[in-house]
Amino acid sequence: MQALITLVLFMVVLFIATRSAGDPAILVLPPDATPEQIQAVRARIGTDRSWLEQFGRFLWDMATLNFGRSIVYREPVLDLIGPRIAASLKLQMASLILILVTAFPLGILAATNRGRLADHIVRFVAALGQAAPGFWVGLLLMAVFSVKLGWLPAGGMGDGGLGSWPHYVLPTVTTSLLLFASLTRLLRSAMLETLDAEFVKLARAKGLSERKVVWVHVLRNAMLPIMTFMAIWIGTAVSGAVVVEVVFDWPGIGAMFVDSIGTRDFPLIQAIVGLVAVSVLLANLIVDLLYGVVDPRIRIEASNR
Amino acid sequence: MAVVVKEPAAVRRPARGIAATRLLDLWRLPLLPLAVIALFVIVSLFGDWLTPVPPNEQSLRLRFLPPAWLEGANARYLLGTDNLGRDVLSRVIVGARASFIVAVAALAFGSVLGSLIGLVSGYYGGRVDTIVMRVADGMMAFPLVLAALLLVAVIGPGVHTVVIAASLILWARFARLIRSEVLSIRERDFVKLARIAGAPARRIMLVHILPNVLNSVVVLLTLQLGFVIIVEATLSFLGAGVPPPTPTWGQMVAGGRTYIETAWWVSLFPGLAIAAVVLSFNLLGDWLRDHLDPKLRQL
Repeated sequence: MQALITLVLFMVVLFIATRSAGDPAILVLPPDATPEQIQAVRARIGTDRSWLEQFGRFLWDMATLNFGRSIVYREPVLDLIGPRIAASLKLQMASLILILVTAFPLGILAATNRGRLADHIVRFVAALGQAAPGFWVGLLLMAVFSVKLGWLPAGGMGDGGLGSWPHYVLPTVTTSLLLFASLTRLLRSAMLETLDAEFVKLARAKGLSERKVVWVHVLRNAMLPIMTFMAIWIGTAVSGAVVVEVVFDWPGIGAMFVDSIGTRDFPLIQAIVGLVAVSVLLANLIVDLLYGVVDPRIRIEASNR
Repeated sequence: MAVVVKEPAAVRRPARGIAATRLLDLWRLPLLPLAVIALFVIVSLFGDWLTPVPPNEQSLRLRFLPPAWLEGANARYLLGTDNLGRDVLSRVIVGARASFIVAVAALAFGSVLGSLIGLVSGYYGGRVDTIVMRVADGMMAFPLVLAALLLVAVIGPGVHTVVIAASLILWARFARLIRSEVLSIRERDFVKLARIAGAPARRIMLVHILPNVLNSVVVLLTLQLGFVIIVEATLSFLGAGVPPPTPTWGQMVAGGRTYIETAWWVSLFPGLAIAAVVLSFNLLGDWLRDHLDPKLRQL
């Protein structure tokens, strides 16, 4: 319910933002168009009607995925963004896997070796990862591994098959860096907090192996702050994706969005922002639901209400 | 990330212990980050007088000169020249100002607005509080780069666009933090006593509660500085930030992108400047948090 309210609020903002940028009819037509021509286009795309009517249509179009035609490409927006979204998702999945397999072991390693060399190294790497801007790191990686050493392709996605995996390496590493750094730091501090808890001492006293104590008892309880953060970080991940796709010429939705801003292609802009908003909301909803799975206390609280 | 992570026990030690810990803490002041930050501020304020070469002086004969320690360099251009023969070092120096202005403006705007909203929202609670926090959550969850680019499409690029875009997310972060603190402070006895004494709500919020959350505001300010600088640089890189000819670090990295094969220094040094400044602010912020406000460790 709350998510729905947020969504409607957001749609209002998006509607006002795209409409206040100027009359779309004037944007589509050449500058020497006659008033009659402008009027004709207005009637066709519906901007001659009342604001309320227009907003109703806008909502309906969004809900039915009827995004209209791109001004620049002259093709239905939906056909344009489909393959782009697929390309972006592939990159994001690869990054997510990389983040999970690196951040968890390293965060735990740092927490369990607090104050020792491993801890210092992990924290240093994480601090660097948070401070270095993604576009710059991407460029440097490209300069070293593609240009200088010639090991990996500098950009593009390849044909998308399994053989094109070298295309994934650099964009995936760059995309993962910031989230990896934040997640590692967060995991470390959350683990440290939980390692002090009474139930951990109990688990040790019961004679459980240290590995089981850390990976089962501590990690599960350290997950809560991490999930709160993940909800916020979904937005950051999208922002990062935009940058990485531009740097590596990745044919994803983020790169297309930057192009559409440059050309003021409002049907396209509208569709992309709308879709991202819905996905972010959905992701947040899923995180909210997952809370209950990880923490039984929240489940009980909710059912007592 | 200072060496000391948490020392809550230190607070409860006897007097002599406190003095000793205090001294140790001072000793552990993050000196290197402080030095970098000082340099950044000085360069931002007085950059125009510190450049070895005029930053917009072009010379096509002197294009792509490498940094001074490499072969074929010109000693006048310490960090080399870019595709128009402009001095990279001088442009890095002048470029600091854009980051500085955007960071200060966005943080001033975002922190004041966000703190006030958090204060009022947390103090009164109720339905307004729920709605405000919902909006704040929405703001924080929405991808900032997307919002900023949308703003650029609607109102055009410029310093104001970047500041508005960054403030959109900053106010939410401040409001969330301050609200959560206010929630616990408003139940404390001194607030209740002030209310019994008949103090108006505005006075309670500003005189009794606000001073108690200022520590958190300072910590968050420092931690967000780096964030704003990265945002500014990223937007500049995407061509949506402060427009040329004003040099900015993000723009310089973008400008060197095409020549990364031959002239890596054009992109390397401005990026290095961003990373150094952001890292320093983050380290200082971590240190401040550990010492002023250990309960914020989750930030």
